[in-house]
Amino acid sequence: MVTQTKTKVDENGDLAVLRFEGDITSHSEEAVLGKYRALNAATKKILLDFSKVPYLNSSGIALVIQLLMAANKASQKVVCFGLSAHFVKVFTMLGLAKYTSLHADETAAREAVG
Amino acid sequence: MKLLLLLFACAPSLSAQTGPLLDLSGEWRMSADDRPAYADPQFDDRTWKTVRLPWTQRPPIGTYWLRRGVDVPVGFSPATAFLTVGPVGEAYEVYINGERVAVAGKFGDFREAQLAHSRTFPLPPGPLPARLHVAVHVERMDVAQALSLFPGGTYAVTGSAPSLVDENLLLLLRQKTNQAPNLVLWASLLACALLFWLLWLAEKDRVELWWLGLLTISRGAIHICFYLAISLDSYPLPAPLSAYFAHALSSAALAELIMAFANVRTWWMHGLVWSYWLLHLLLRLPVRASALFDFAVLVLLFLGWQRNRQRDRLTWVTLLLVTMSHFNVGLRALPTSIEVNGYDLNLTSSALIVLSVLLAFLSLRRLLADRREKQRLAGELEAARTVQQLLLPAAAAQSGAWDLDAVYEPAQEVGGDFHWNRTTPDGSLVVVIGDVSGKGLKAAMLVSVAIGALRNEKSSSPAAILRALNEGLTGHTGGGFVTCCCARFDADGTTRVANAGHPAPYDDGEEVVVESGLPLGVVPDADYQESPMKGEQFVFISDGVIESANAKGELLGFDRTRQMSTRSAQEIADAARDWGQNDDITVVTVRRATLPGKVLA
Repeated sequence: MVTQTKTKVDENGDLAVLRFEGDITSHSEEAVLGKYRALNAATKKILLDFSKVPYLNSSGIALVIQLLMAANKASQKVVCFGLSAHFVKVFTMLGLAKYTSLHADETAAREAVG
Repeated sequence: MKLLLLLFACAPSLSAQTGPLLDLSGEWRMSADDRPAYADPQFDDRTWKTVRLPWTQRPPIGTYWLRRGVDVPVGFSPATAFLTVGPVGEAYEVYINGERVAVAGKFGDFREAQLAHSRTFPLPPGPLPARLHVAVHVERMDVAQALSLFPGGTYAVTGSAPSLVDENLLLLLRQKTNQAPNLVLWASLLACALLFWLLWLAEKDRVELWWLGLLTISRGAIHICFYLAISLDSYPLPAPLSAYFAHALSSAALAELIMAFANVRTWWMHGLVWSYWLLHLLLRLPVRASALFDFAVLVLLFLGWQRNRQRDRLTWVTLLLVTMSHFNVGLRALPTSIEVNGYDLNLTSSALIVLSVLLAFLSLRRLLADRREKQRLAGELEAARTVQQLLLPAAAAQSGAWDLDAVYEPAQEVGGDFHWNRTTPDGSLVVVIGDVSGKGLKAAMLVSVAIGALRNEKSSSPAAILRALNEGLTGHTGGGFVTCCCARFDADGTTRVANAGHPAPYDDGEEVVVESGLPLGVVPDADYQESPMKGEQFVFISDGVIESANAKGELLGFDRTRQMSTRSAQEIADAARDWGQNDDITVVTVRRATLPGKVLA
């Protein structure tokens, strides 16, 4: 059963953390892109927290890719953490390494983003 | 006729039961003014109009006074005297010589309205004066026609408490008879509620049908409350009060119905509606609170109509009728029922029946239209599926040194996966497998675009093919993307592969290490690199294999897929489908023609 995506946003200076909860699917546009677009204009570093995301389908991954492309265009650094081993492989397979880095937890992600 | 005989048989004989009797029936003075001074025995009521009690016809709605003076006969001096009052109104108080001696019901609150019985009250002890000045302060409420059948009843002072059982049974029987049209309304409303809920089960996105079912059944409950009240001796709550709760429920359902019609889905409005109903249930809010809420519903109806005027006009008009009659129940500005051939007919429920019949008709018409539309769409999907099957290449191909097998099982009528192959003039086999993000017709259309581009592609280099496809698809994916893997198998056994975000192929049971570029259609200038492969039997899959999920939500996953990657295309597809298909499944196997047997491994 597909659950509705919720996103909690923590902003601190130029760093923002988007904490997703629930499956990310075609119904998650507001939770992914909507929350990204609503971030403070001064945001330069973005952490995407997938630790409470059990499943992303292809449409949901498309939303994440759109976020990564938009952030790349805006010269923002994006770091992901909390992905399951399956989706780490999927993200790697999708060639997203050029646009984001994948980390096990938030501490590692915060270190990576500097 | 049977009823008339029954009425005649049950006619009471009060004097025979009670001995000495001071009859108060006959001419009384009546004033529609409401002044406490009218209880004064000295008040001069000669200018008032004359009426007769028991009522011979239904008295007007409102508050009024009835007065009568009567001489007590010599010798009429019982130890305790009793006053018997017929069904004069829903609330009343009786004064004898200026002293209040009897009270029934509660003025200004129809929820406490009394059943239309004759009632007997003991008078204060002591000898009766020579003349009795009887003043009755009455409130005739327009609420409970079931409880207010006025013709008939006893008005008397007696020497002992009379038995009124037969007379009241007679009144109850007449009340039940009087309720016949409302019982028909109740049955109709119940049938409508069931119909609406059945329609809702057929179309769960039409939430207004659910609310309409609740509205009709709560209106029906009002009639049930009254009927139970006149049928049961020990009805748990005063009938008007329980009907009042049912009315509050129907008001809440009406508000929800209007919101559903107007497509208003604001959570706080739902909260407000049900808080109101809960408050009614817990606090027994004043009658005016009901009128205030029903007025708010009327305003909501206007706003809803402003917001969604394109809905059927007749439906809005009928909703207006129902809402206004609801509003009137609390306001009491107009009668809530009309008399038809001696029977009372509730106007709100009648308006609701009209609305129900209208909406049932419109719902059935829409259901049939939707069915026709679904059949048409199913036909179009079938046609699209046929076109897609024609576009995709044959499931098996042979190209000199290489044999190809393919299995494609879309999750819906049309799929977002595709595979394609071509033999080049030099005998090489070019194989492409891809997956459009999303499902359904939109994905299928993009598949057609991709296949069309592949058919026109002259290059046989995997990386060049992906670059060309990316160029053609960028800007046309509607925010989605296409993962794609392209491989070339030369006649001399050389193999090369390029990947655009697609699951890597398997080579003799091991995942091929291949540099993956971005999926197609994401950025216009994406670059793709070719990697060599060394084996003799290869398996290409779509993510529908890896992401097949069982009932526990457990994915088939990369490891299990790798372990079965030496099987035939059909076996791999079957295993994924049996695990739990939730996406298109595509498996393509390519093996050296010199290998023995048709099945890999």
